[in-house]
Amino acid sequence: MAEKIIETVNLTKRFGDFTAVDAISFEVNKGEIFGFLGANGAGKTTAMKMLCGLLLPTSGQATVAGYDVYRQSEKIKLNIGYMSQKFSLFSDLTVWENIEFYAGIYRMPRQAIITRGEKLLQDLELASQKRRLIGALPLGIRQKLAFSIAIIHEPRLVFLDEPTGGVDPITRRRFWEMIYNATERGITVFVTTHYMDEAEYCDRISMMVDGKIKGLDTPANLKLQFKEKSMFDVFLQLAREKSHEAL
Amino acid sequence: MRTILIILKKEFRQIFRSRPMLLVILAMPVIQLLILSNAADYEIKQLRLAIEDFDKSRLSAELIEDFTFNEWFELTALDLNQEKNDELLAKDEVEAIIAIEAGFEKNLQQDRTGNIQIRLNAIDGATAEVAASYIAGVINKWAVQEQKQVRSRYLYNPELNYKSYMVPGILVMLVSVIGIILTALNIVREKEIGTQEQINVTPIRKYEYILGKLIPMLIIGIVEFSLGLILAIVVFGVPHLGNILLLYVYLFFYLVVMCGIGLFISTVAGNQQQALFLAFFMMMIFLFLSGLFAPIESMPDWAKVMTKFVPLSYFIRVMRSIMLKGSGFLELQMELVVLIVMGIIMQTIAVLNYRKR
Repeated sequence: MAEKIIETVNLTKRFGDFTAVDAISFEVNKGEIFGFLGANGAGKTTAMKMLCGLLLPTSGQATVAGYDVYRQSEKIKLNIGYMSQKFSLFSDLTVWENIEFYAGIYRMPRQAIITRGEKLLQDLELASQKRRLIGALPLGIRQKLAFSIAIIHEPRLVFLDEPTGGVDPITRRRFWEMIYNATERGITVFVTTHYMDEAEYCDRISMMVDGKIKGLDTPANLKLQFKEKSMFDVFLQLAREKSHEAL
Repeated sequence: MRTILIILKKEFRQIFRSRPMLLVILAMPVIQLLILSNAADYEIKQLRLAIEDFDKSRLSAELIEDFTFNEWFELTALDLNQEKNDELLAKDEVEAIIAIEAGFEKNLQQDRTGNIQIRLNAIDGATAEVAASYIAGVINKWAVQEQKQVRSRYLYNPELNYKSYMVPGILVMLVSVIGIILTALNIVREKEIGTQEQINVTPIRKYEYILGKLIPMLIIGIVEFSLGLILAIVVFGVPHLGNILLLYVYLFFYLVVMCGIGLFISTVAGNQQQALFLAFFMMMIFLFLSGLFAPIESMPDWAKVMTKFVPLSYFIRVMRSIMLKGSGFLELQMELVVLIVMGIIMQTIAVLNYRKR
């Protein structure tokens, strides 16, 4: 049995009458790339925010990296990285100043900030851009930088919320290479997306519809289960089911 | 502690990088002091007078002459009909009525008190106050010539220099704007661009983040205040009779209150627009009830009660007392206590309302 890094049982979030996340139960194994798929408004981001300690669940249980989301959210925060769909670097600070800031608030020692920061810049071929303002960089580079900074403190787990939104296909490809590199270093990746080609890159996928998990398996098994040729068709089938229900 | 320093470093980098912001911070005290202290000048030219001379003596005639040949006054009516004059006052056709009592000269010659009554339309409290002081000034001058004594009630700001009176108040307004608006906008901006969320998933503690945000605002407020103070003293020649260090003690606690309000606004506002509206709304009420533009004494009772909850009114009083009167701590203890209590209350509400999730 693989070690579990996330475990949830009937995790639920309600906003008034609206149930954004409806009793979801799943596990994420250490070291895997776990894809969280669903249409806009399916509850992916809400579920992710509960796991990161940004939102308090209404009911159900969840542990992340062995810590309880209700009581130990600050412990969780030390062990995770997070990159949201909104842009999260400071555009009025330089590349290096952003690195320094985020590494610093994760309590990394000064020397480690310098060595890892320089390494990060080399890997991204950004050494010459060190003193440029983030605002002056192209979106693709900023996204890659945001990802690298989100894992600069070597967290056990990183949450990526639609990290490749609005990015060109080549950069997306490079971005996924970076995700693979991270898993090789032992970082578990929890990623939401609605690009179906990206879904194929994941080890396991959960399909969310209307706050519920409708399917959870490897991409190959999901295609078998729903008797479709691609993840795109699986997604459409689930989405159609929903619209039939609505009719 | 290290985390706070890291946040401070980041904040100051952002502030110094934003040239328009720096310009506003540096230029604001200069421009506001120059414009407001001149615009908010209660000096009144051509004060219209009605004089009732019930004495009709040499002395009273001389006094009237002093008013007639004074460029600040315009003698509009010289009539003994009190009712008619009161009506002129009510209709705003004269600003003041001076009545010289019968037997004025005789009383003075026999070393008794000669009375002069001054009636003012005090709807505009500030104007009335100035008018009264001008009239008293003319009477004083006349009395000196006649070698009579008049006692003046205006002990402070003896030249009735309204710049001296206004400038300390305007300085208070300036640091209030910094405290409330800058703090609120700074935090809400991070909410808006998404960095706030990013910071909320980091192990930064709530108090570290809040201190990291408030300390730069306190420092900017103090720098801003100092710039304004130097201007006030050097350019406007505002007297500074009291202990300047004491002024800074009050300033510190006052800024804590203001930043607390700014922080509170940032916790309830969803975006910069809302924050700005809320901040302006509060600033307006604060200004009107601060005693800066209209004296608190001439406000209705309910408004007087409200001014007790306005931090500006305390700090303005402190500023004027320390600078113009040279008051010491003993006379201003109550103000310090009130400011500290207000600071604790505001900060507590704001911090409780600030959520990391």
